[in-house]
Amino acid sequence: MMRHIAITIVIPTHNRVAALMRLLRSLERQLPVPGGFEVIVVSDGSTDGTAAAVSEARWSFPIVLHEQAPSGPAVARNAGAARAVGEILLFLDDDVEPMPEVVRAHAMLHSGSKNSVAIGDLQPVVSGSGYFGTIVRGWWHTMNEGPRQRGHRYHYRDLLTGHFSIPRRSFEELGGFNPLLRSHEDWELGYRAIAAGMNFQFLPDAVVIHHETATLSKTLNRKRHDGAADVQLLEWYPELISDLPVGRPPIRSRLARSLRRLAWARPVTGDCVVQALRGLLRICEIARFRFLWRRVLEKLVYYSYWRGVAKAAGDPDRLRALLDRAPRPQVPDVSIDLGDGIEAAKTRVDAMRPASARLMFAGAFIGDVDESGAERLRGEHLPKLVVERFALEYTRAASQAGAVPWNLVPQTARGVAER
Amino acid sequence: MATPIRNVDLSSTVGPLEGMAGCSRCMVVFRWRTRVVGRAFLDVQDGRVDVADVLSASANLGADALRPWLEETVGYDERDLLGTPVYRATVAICTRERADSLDGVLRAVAGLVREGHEVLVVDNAPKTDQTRQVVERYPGVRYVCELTPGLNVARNRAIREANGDIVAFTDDDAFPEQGWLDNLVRNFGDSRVQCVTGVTLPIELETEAQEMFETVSTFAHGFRRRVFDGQRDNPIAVGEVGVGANMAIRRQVIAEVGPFDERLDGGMPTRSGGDHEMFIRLLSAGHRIVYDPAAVSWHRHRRTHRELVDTLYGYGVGVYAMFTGLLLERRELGVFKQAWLWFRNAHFPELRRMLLNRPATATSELRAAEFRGCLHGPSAWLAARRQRPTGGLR
Repeated sequence: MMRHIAITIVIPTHNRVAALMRLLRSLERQLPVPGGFEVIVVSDGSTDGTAAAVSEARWSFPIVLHEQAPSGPAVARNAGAARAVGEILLFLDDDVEPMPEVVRAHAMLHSGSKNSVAIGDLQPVVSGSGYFGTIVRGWWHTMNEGPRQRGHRYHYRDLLTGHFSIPRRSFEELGGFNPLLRSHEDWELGYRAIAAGMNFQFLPDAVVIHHETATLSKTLNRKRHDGAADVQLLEWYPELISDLPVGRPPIRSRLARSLRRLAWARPVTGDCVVQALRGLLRICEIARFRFLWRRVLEKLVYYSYWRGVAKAAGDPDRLRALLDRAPRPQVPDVSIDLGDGIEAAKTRVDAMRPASARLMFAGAFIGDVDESGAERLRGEHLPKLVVERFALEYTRAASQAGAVPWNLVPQTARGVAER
Repeated sequence: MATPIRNVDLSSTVGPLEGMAGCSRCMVVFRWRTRVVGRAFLDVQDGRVDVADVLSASANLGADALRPWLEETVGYDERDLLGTPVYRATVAICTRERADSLDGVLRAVAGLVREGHEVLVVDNAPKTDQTRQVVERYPGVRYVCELTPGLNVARNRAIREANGDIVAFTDDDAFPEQGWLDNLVRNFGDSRVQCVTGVTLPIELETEAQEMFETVSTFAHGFRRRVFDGQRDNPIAVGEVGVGANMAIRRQVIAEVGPFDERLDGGMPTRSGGDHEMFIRLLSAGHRIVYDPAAVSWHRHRRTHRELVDTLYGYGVGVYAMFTGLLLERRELGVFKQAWLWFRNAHFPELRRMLLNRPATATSELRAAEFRGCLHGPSAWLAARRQRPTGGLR
């Protein structure tokens, strides 16, 4: 008979035995979890003695080691999930270190709500110093910034494989990670989870330290995979075109334009130019030319991304054909009038859960809320939307409707309101 | 002639401003409930300002003035983040022989002890025991004596002594109002925010010197919350970040970026600049600093003309001393750009006026003093470095 286990922790790993052991040791220090947890380590073609290190140590929790020929993290996570016994799957990257509350926090969230995706907190500790280390730390901090805010509208990109959990049944129903992707497989799963109506929830109490060892080379390599993955995503989900860098208007810079052309037509020359730019980057840092350094890095990242796009798309015509499939913006499903007060509007939105909405104030237009890849609207999204996106439009419409206290009505609107 | 200061709450009925006989203008601080949304200088006639004039001034405050109302109406506060821990703060007052003024500051902040915060007075190189005597009148307020003179030495001592997660600094001549600490601390929910500054307004404009100071070198940088981000903004451009008289810092970050540079600021030949140098270091490390005008403190500017000239001279010295340090020790060539911008905007117009024999304006003398300070800055920095070679850094 199969034993009941609450949580299965799936850890894919590739040649990072020291980091992995640090992670496993931190799992020894977890607070007790009702039902307990098991760990499945999927060694994805590791050659650094990962298997021996894991099996030689004694662990207080059940642990399964699965070895596979190198096939990428998506396949590794699916393989781990396929062997899981727990009702909840908690995915952790091998370079994280969970605080003692983490596993319990995930277990508690899922026991209280079905069909949820729990997004955990990743706090970066960056080993690199200098300008690059600073930038990388900022990138990681920014990733969790949205979900931390109240009234955040969850988006497929909020799902990061480094630290999240999902009921095993939901994961199986979604079909797991897409094995064709070498990057952005987390976003792709996130997209399907949102489309299936799963609830995303941020878990501020579940903090893992993320030991980031990114170097410039690794980052640029990663960007290539991102570019290639985005072409795949375009092909599958034309509605995401405007959301992915590949579908956005090109950045306005002559150097960036030339680099993009090189990425398509002369990648060998392009790679040489990149080497030269990397030299320039070093000079900029020595001379403390911070802004030039940032601009050069931006171009390097841009080139690498487009190199990946070019390789995956083959030729520009094919990409153009893909981009032409972008759906036209549509008139929102419903119209929400904020003129009756925010609470009334929230109730209406919660009753309807529309994918998009037109915001009005006493009949006057404020703005359209439409975002492909985002969860359906909830009432609690409204306050943040109003203040952060439509502050000007809202106050203008409200002062025309006489809903702004007279003392605050700006001079420009006073004449209108008097009439 | 004195400029009276009046608060006007726009959330209730506004009346005329009266009882200002003998004054030609007044400073009006507009609020939405407790939040300051703007300020204006209004002409006073026959000792009063009509309602119409007050309201017309409020109508010209700009879109930012509506923000607190908007946030209240829809129920949103961007500072409110999920998972924000309950922070305990230490209010630190670095003081030297200003017992009367300190008494007023303690009256404003001593109540925070009952809310679970810590209030700490650092008595810097005292000559008398008056400061200690004042502190003893406030139960629960901690007193420490730092014998080495220097404002940054005192600040570092405060950080070492503090038990709070956040150390909020106020000067011995800056009087925080109700809600000041709470509004500073609320911004620390964002883990990239390492420092928060508030808005500092004049508590009185009684003398001409105080009025001049407010015109030439105000501490108030607008009434909209701003985030200075080391990942995005120029870390050397910190003129609008805020002032050390009203700032809070996450204690933990000091271990990462180092303490305040003890070669800078009051008590040293460099005379000022210690707060700005810390802002620069924080931003250079990629952190964020928030300027949050919801945290209000009221500063007593120097009363006499001589003190005013001296203060501005000190600012010139401090900024250029700091530039010198950045250039020599961190090879920050960006200081040239900052120095040029400052010169072009503040000092060049006065210099041109002087060279063309145009009549001096009210600010000429002050700008000249500031400029003289700038010229003295580099040598002041070298002198300070001889006294304390590393300034407590590294």
